[in-house]
Amino acid sequence: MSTAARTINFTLNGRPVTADVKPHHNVVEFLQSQFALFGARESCGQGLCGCCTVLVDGKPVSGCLYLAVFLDGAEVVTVENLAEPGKLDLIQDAFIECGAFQCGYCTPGFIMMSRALLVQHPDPDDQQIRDYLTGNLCRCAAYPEIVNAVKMAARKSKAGSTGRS
Amino acid sequence: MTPFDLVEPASLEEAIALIDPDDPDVRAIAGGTALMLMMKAGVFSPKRLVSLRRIGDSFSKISTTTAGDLVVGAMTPLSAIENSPEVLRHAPVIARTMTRLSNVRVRNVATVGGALAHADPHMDLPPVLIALGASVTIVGPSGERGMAVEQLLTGYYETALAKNELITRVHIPALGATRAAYFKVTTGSADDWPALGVAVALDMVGSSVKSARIVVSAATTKATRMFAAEKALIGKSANDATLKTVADAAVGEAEILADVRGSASYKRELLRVYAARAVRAAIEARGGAHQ
Amino acid sequence: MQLGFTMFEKVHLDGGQVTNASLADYKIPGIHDVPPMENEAVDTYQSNGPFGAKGVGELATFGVSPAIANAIDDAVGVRLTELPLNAEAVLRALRAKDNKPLGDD
Ligand SMILES: Cc1cc2nc3c(=O)[nH]c(=O)nc-3n(C[C@H](O)[C@H](O)[C@H](O)COP(=O)(O)OP(=O)(O)OC[C@H]3O[C@@H](n4cnc5c(N)ncnc54)[C@H](O)[C@@H]3O)c2cc1C
Ligand code: FES
Ligand code: FES
Repeated sequence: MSTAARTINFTLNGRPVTADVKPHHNVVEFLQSQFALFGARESCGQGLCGCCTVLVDGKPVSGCLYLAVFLDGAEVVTVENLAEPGKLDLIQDAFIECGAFQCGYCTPGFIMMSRALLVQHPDPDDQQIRDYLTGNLCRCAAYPEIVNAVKMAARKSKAGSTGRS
Repeated sequence: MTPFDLVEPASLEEAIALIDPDDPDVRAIAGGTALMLMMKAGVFSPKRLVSLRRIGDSFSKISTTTAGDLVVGAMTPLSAIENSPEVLRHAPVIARTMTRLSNVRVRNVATVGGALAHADPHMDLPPVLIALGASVTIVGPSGERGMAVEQLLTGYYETALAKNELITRVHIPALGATRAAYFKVTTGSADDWPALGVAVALDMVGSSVKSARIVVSAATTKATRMFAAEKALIGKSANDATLKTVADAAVGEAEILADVRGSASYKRELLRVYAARAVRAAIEARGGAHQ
Repeated sequence: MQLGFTMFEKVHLDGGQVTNASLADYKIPGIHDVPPMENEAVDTYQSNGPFGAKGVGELATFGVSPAIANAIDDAVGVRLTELPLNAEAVLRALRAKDNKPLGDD
């Protein structure tokens, strides 16, 4: 029986990586401590707020409730990967244009969820957006603006825009 | 979380052999959503977790038998049953229940087996499966056995499983003309756990109810069938007077508990309203089950 | 924020100890709970503010609870004076008014 670290291989933001991970570490702790990725952050720690959202094999999961060892062999995408440094992808751009945040704490989570939503439903209606984002909390209650931002991103994506440089 | 060992066996037999039935600090982990909450809260500090993730496909498939039964592997993520055309065709009430169960991220990870074995009375899937007459296949060191979901859940976070028994599949019998509905009643925010769950499945002959199963959850220590309410419904046509006796019977027999989501007296009033609504919704569910 | 306080946010205490100190038991509004909103600016002059200006942050929240309490009174004729103004509170007040109070368990 061993609580020692083991080595896992996975793809992180498009790059194959190898890392040592302890069985009891969750994805947020792991990405922060070993890869200096702080976009996924822990708030509720209970799967309820979405601040820790990362995409694992294309699906959004709560990093706070996901064992890091389970990333072995997976493809992981974090908010840092949406656009090159200094640029914004079109969802980020739409959030700014619509004023879809106040303090911004919840924003990376909402943006990652919106990205997964737009893959599944490229042209979502209000109900689909709300149903998909119901597990993300915004204490500033920017929800109406967030819904607008997702719709704007969907429109821009249809029109072929990729974001602001 | 305190450090623990994690083993990832490649077969079911191996997994079962790795679980010491006498050691409460060794447990199976599927999606881990429920266990992580318990470990983070410090109410569970395992020595070893046995991951079921590498056990393979047969354990996470959705299929239909020639008899029309739906078979769902225990490692199937909840999002897969939410989006499965087979589940939608066979038992739309299950797919619809998923859309309000927790959130997209949890459903992507949480499994059907975990949703049954965890036995939290607030869970939405067990009452629906009991109403549909579903059963599970359980595998342990001495082989396989079947059990109705109704018998599986024995109490507050308690099941009939031995520590080294695993659920491998859920069977949902061919529904034929059975209609079903589930109401998840929340009293806080819309994304909260239910304060009350009511599941109903019934068959009609003309305008009268031939058979019925009514299950109450969340406000009780476990998902529980309401036999007196069922009796009050069977053989009757579901008019206002019948529905009132059905609802009163349910309120009379359900052992309702208070918690942060409401007092027991308030939840009894919720049950009075939602028992009748759920029966009506089941009857109105066309071509199988909606709601 | 004030909508949350008004509708469901309640701190449960047991001997001074908070018993619902997590977002699982202390529910705040999610995306389904916030209705469409319209904003209207009311012109006013704050004599001790710079250029007569007044802060707009929390100020805008004061009206929410009384507005909802008034709406409940208008709709069903009971006056609630304690937050949260949830469905159980409304039913309790209605039952008390009818002299059929809801039980305490
Ligand atoms: C934020 C949040 C909100 C939630 N809200 C809801 C809700 O509204 N409604 C609802 O119904 N659920 C809700 N859930 C619960 C969720 O459904 C469960 O956490 C999930 O189903 C557990 O599945 P898992 O695979 O993650 O189980 P795990 O955490 O891996 O395991 C849970 C338990 O089941 C045992 N187990 C797992 N698989 C098997 C198996 N095949 N055989 C035997 N034992 C097994 C484990 O040993 C453990 O004891 C919520 C969860 C979270 C985190
Ligand atoms: S921190 Fe993971 S969902 Fe809130
Ligand atoms: S912008 Fe502040 S929490 Fe969402």
